[in-house]
Amino acid sequence: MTEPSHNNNNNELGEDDVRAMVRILADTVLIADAAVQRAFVMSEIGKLVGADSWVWGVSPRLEPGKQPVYLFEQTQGFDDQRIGKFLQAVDHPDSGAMTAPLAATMVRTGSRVTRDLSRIVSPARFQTSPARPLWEAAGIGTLLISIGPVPGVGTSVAGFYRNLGEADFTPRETRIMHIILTELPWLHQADLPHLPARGMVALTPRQRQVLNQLMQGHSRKAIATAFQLSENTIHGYVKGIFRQFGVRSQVELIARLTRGDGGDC
Amino acid sequence: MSPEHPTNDGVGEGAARAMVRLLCEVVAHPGDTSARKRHLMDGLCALIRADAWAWSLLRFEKGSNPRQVVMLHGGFGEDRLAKWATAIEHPDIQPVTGALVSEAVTARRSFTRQSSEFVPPAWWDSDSPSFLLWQEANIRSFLLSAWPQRDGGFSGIGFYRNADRPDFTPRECRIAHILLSEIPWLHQAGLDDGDGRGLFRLPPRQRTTLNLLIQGWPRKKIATHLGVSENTVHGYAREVFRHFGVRSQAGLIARFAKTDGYQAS
Repeated sequence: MTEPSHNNNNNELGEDDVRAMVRILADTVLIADAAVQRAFVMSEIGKLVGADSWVWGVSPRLEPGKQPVYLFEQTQGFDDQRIGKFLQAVDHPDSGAMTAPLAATMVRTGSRVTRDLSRIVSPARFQTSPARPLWEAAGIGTLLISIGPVPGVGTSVAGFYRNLGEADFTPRETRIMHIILTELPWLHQADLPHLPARGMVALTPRQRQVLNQLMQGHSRKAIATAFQLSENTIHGYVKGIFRQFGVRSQVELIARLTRGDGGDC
Repeated sequence: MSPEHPTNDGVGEGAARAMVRLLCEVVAHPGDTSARKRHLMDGLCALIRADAWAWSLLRFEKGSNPRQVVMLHGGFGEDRLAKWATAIEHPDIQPVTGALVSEAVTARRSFTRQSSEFVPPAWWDSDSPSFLLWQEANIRSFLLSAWPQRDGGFSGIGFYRNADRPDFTPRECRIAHILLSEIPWLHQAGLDDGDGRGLFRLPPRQRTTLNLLIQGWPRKKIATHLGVSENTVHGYAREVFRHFGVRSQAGLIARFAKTDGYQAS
């Protein structure tokens, strides 16, 4: 157990929890495709712990003291506008600062860390964070983050979110998430964005936000609206991103980053 | 292994986690349905410290012995399996199985029972032929889970302990029951889950022969085991082949490896 301090009465799992977890996994066995399996597991455990939305992705760079870089592969429960706001909230330097202790624990222990908002930062710290308005704009009230090292790739990141005004995730819910995400190593490896994702580190924060939007399949026009920027400005970002990954189109970009098609970067 | 934190139902967090881990392994297992079932059953066997397991299709009728066809098994070794399977079909085993059979016939719902709950204690000291076979099979305590199937029969999964081992604990029964009740595909015969009715129209001797033929036994060995001539076994085997529309033992085994013996029509 990576978090012995969390072993208290609140996080005890009951038989119902065990049954629910077994049921989800038993159904997962019947799904053939790895990406579909992952979406199914994420979606079902999201329901189990009462999350309104979730994201799954990788981080080629997650080091304490440096602004984290994420590439989100699968999301659920966000519409186009919200995902844009969410990406802005994630990329805010203070979001990185608040999650730094989480990353530090993972780096120190070399194993997965799963925490709900109240164990990531104190309520007062979150209330006064300059990133807070961005989280609010994204409609996110509280969250549960699980990060774990994936050798050769970086860090696998799963975030589960509840809408504004909802209660924090409980230690029991955190525990359920931690167990499933720890015991399913393939979830973090199958069909991963390949090494080119490392090229992300060289991008500017704005370019990374645009990259995440492009990966969701959004048009430049939609991205311009989400970021309240002109289409021309977005074109400029996109050109820089394409150059970084050596691709000529959005389709090629998605193929390169999800399947590793083409050369290295 | 983490320390046992008892849950409110007494299964324990260590066991809960081991169950989830086992299911996660099955999700990642590259094999077909049979291979996954086998992995799951071997794992469950280890979890509840059983020495052997068998999955059978069963027919129950009041006042007669359960009729079974063993589909998969592990941990027995072929001689023990044959002795045990013969004991189950022996007419004088009625005191042991009678209560179970009438429960299954009346209630037609799933149940998990351990031997100490329904085997009359006197049977363990008896010199009945079925008990002697049981003894030769080196089995004492067992745990049986039966699940009604659409075709009117039952799927039966049994876990067995060697004669020198103690009974299963209530906690071990619970673990087995939870896993077996949340995994519907465990009880399905083959991917297309055909109609198993005809399987049980075979007379007892032919059914025993079928059980041994699908374990790969040569006819000479079957003859010795049943105490009949090789010619007689040839006769049984011919009937079994005709019944399932195959021409050889290899054909029969192949048929049972994929379905419950009947080609999808």
